Amino acid sequence: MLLSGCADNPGKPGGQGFKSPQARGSEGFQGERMKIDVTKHKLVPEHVLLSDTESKDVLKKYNVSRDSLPQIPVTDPCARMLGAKPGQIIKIIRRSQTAGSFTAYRMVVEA
Amino acid sequence: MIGVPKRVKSINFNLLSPKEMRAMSATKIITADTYDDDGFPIDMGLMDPKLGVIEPGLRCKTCGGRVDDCPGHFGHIDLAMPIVHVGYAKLIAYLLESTCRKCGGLLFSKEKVKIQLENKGNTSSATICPHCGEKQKKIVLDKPTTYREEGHKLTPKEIRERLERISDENLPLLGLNPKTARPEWMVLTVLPVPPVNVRPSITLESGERSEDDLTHKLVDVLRINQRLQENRDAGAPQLIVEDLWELLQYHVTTYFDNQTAGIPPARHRSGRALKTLTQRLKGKEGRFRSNLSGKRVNFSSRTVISPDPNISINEVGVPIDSAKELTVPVSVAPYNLETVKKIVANGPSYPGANYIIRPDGRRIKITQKNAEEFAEKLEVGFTVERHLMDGDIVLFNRQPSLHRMSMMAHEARIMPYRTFRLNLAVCPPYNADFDGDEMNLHVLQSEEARAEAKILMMVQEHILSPRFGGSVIGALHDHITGAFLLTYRDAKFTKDEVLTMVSAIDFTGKLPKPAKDNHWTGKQIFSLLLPKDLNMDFRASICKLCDICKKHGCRDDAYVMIKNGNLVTGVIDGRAIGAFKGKILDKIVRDYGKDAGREFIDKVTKLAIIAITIKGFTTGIDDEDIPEEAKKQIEEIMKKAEKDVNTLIDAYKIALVDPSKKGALEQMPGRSIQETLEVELMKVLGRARDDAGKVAGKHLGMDNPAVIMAVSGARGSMLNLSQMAGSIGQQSVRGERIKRGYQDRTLPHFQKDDLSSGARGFVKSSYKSGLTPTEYFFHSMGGREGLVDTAVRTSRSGYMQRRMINALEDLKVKYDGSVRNTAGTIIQFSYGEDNIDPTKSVRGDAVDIDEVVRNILHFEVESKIEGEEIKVAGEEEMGLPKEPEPSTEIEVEEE
Repeated sequence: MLLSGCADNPGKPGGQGFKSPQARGSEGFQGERMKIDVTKHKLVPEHVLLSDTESKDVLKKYNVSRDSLPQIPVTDPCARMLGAKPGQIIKIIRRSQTAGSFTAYRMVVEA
Repeated sequence: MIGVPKRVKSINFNLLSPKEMRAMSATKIITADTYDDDGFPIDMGLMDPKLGVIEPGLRCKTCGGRVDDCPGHFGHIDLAMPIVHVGYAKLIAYLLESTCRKCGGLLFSKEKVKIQLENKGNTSSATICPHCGEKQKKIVLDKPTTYREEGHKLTPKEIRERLERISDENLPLLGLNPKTARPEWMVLTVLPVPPVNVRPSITLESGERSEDDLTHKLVDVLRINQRLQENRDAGAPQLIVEDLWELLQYHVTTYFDNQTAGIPPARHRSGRALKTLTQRLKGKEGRFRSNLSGKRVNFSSRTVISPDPNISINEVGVPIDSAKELTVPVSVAPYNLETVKKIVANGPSYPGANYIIRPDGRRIKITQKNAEEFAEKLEVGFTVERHLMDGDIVLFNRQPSLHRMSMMAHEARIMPYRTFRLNLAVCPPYNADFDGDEMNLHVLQSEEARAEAKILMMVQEHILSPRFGGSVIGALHDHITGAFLLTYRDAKFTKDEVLTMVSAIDFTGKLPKPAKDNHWTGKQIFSLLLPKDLNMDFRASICKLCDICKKHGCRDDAYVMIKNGNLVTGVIDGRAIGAFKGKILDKIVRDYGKDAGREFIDKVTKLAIIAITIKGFTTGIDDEDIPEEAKKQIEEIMKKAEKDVNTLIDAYKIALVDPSKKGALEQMPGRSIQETLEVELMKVLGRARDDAGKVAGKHLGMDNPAVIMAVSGARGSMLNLSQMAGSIGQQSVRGERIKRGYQDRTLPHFQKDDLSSGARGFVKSSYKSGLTPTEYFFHSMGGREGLVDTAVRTSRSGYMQRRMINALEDLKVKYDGSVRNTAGTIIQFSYGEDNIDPTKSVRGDAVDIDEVVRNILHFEVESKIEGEEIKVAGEEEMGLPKEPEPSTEIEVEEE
C-alpha cells in the first residue's frame, strides 16, 4: 500500500513515522481516528456522508428503497473515517476518464 | 406489462416420510423379475401394470387412463434393514455429533441455544451430555455412508434409533422442521419405486427387451433385499447378514448417485457406468441444463455453410429443400387473399404451403392432391403456413454464441443445392470458415419477432462492435489485396475493364473523365463508391511510419487523402476497408448510416474481387526466393550471433567463478546471473533473427505478392515472410529458451550444460531451407505448447464465460439510465458509470475530438490547398509541398 506517511519512514509502515490525523489537520473530522488516513490516498475516491434530507432526495431521484442501493460495510475504512452508522447513505464521487466524475451511493450496513 | 398470473411466494423442501411413501405407492414391489415368459409384466414386479402404462392402447390399472392421461404411479420396496440415504450422509453426521448418544438431547449449553437459534450452525459438542451425563464419543463419517464411533461401526439401525430420540422441540435448533423433516427419515426403511414412465423399457428390432438403467439398479436392490431378508429370517450368521446389508447399502447408494466418491460406480454388463438418479439431473446433459434451461425448437435448420460473394452481407442463402420445410405463418386477409391462394395452390412444391390452420384451430396438411381444392376454400381469417421465401427475416447463428454478433438477422434467399450461403464479410463476427462449419437458422413466426429482429438484429446493425467501437464486418483477404491492386499508385484500367467493374457495383451515372490517354486510374474507380462529401486523411496499412510524415506527398502512396469523395492520394488497404480496422468503413457507417455501410461493404468487396481478377494475383513458395548473396549475408549474421552468444557464455562462466574479474558478465539489478545471461542471449538471438529478416526483406519488394499481402494487411506478416526466407528464430517453452529434456541437456546430441544457441532451441534455418533434425524437434516443442495452450484456453474461457453470463443475464438498463437486476437493486447508477454505449463510441472514446476538429478545419485547409492545386495520384511524380499542419488546440477554442 502506498501511504501518505511513507516518505517519513519508509522502513516501518505504521511505525512512529506516522502523524495522527489531527496533527495533519484533517478538517471536520468526526469519525474514528486511524493510524493511516486512507482518504488521502490517491486511489481512494471522495466519500461524503449524506444528511437525512439529502438521503431522501437520492432515494427519490432513483425511486428506490434503501435496501436497493449498493452497500458498504460499517467496517470499511472510509465509512469508519466518516463515522457512518448502518442505514446512512454515503455518496462516493469517483473520477472517470470517460465521464469526468461519477457519483455513486451506498447504504452503510452492518458488517 | 403483463401481470404475473401466479407468483411463487415460497418453496418448501421436505423429507419424504415412510408413511407418505407407502401412501403414494400403488403397489408393493417384491419380485426382481420384470416380465414373464409370455412377455406380460409380473404382478408386484418392477413393471407392474399398476405403475402406469407405456404401451399405447392399454389402460392403467391404477387410474384407468391411457398413455397420454396416465402420469404414472409410484410403487415401493420395503427394505429388510434400514439404509442410509447418501444425500443426507453429511446432515446425519452433523445430527449425530450434536446430540447425545443416549438420550438424544442437545449437547450444547442453554446459552448457546440462543446463538444457535439465530445461526443454526454446527455445534461444538460437549464431552458429557448436560442432560443425562452420558460420556460422548467422537463420531466420524467414513465416506460415503459409514459412521464410526471411536472405531466401532454404527449400523444404520443404530443410527436410525439415535435420530428417533431427538425430540421435536430440539429440531428447529438444528435447522429442521419436525413436521416436514424428521431426522430418522434420512435413514430409509422404504424405497419409492418410480413409475414406469420414468424408466421405459425399449423393445429392440430383434424383439429383445432392453431395460432402463434405473430398472436394472432396482433389480439389484430387490435381489439383495430379498436375500438379506431370507438370510436374516433363517438366522444366518451375523457376518453374512452384515455383508448383505452392506451390499444393499451399496446398491441403494448407487441407485441415488452412481458417482459417489469412495465407491466404485455400478456398471452395465458392457462395462458402461449406469446412469442413475443424480446423473439424470446433473451437469450439461442433465435434466436442468439440457431439458429445462435449453430446449429443442421447431422452425430451425442446420447445415454446412459455404461462401457466396454475390449475396449481400445481410442475406443468407437457404437451400430450397430447407425452405420447403421451414414455414412462415401468414394470416389470410382481403388484401393478400389472391396471393396466398396462389401459394396454397402450389401445394408442397416450392413456393407453396404445408398447412392451413382454420380459425377453429384445426390444422390441415396440404398435399399435391388437395392443394387446388383448399386454395379455393381459402377464406379470410385462415392462417397459411407458407414456405420460406426471398426476403423473409431469419436468425442465423454459429456456436459458440460468445457475443451478440453470433446471432444476427438475415434476409433469406432461396437457392439450389444444400448448404447455407453467406457473404465472406460476415465471417469474422460469426468466427466462421468453410472447412466444414455448420450453422443454425431460425425462422421467425410472429410479426413482432420479425420487427424486433429487423430493427435490432439485422447484420448492418452490428457492423460496429460493442467491444471496441469499431467495425467487425469488413473486407478480408482477397478483398484487401484486390483493393490494393486497384488503387496502388497509378494502376491503369482500360475502358473495357472499367465497365466490367462499374457494372459489378451497379453504378449508375456518368463515368469520370479518364485520367490519362483513355485510361482510368483505380483511384477514380474506387472513388465512385465514396459519398460525395466524404473528407478523410489517414495513414494506410503500408505506411512505414517515417519519422517525418510527408503526408500526401508520401513516396510509398501510403497517405490516404479523400477530398469530397475523391481518393486523391494513398492506397486503399486493410486500414481503410479491412474488418476490425477499416477507417473508411467506420466513418461511412457512423456518418452515413448503417444501410449505407452495408451497401459500401457489399460493393467494395465486389469491386475488389473484380479488380483482383483483372489484375491477376498469385503467390507461391518462390515468392520467398532470395539471391545467393543474401543467403550468405544471413549465414554471416547467424555466425556472428553465435559468436556473440559464445562470448556471453564465456563471460557468464567467468562471472560464476569470480564476478569481480575482468570480462565477467555483469549481473542485472533484480536478476540472478543465470537470468541475466538468458536475457542477454535472447536479445542477441532476437536481433539476429530480425537482422536476417531485414536482409531477406530487402530483396522482397512491393512487386512481390507475398509482401503485398503482408504489408496491406490482407494476410500474413512480414515476420512470417522473414521466417520463411531468413531465419525462424528462437523456440520457446513457457516463455524461456528450451531447457528441459535430459539431465542437464535438451537432447542427447549435445554436451551436458551446453548453453549455446543451437542446444537451447534456436533455429537458424528458414522454413524454406528446411530445419535440421534438432531444430525440427525444438520447433515441434514450441508448436506443441501453442496447441496445448489453445486447447486449455478455450475450455477455461468457456467456463468463465458461462459463469459471467449467469451472473449478468438479468441485468437491465432502466429508463433512468441505471443498471438494475430483477429485484430492482441498483448495480450501476448509470450504465458503465459513464452512460457511454461502446458501440457508438469511437474506439472507446465518447467523442473523437480530433475528428471534430478536422471536420471543422477541413474547409479552411481545403481552401489553402486548392490554391496549390493537388496533382491527382496516377500522374507520376508526387513531390508535393507539405500540407500545412492544422494547429489544432487554439483554433478549436475560437470555434
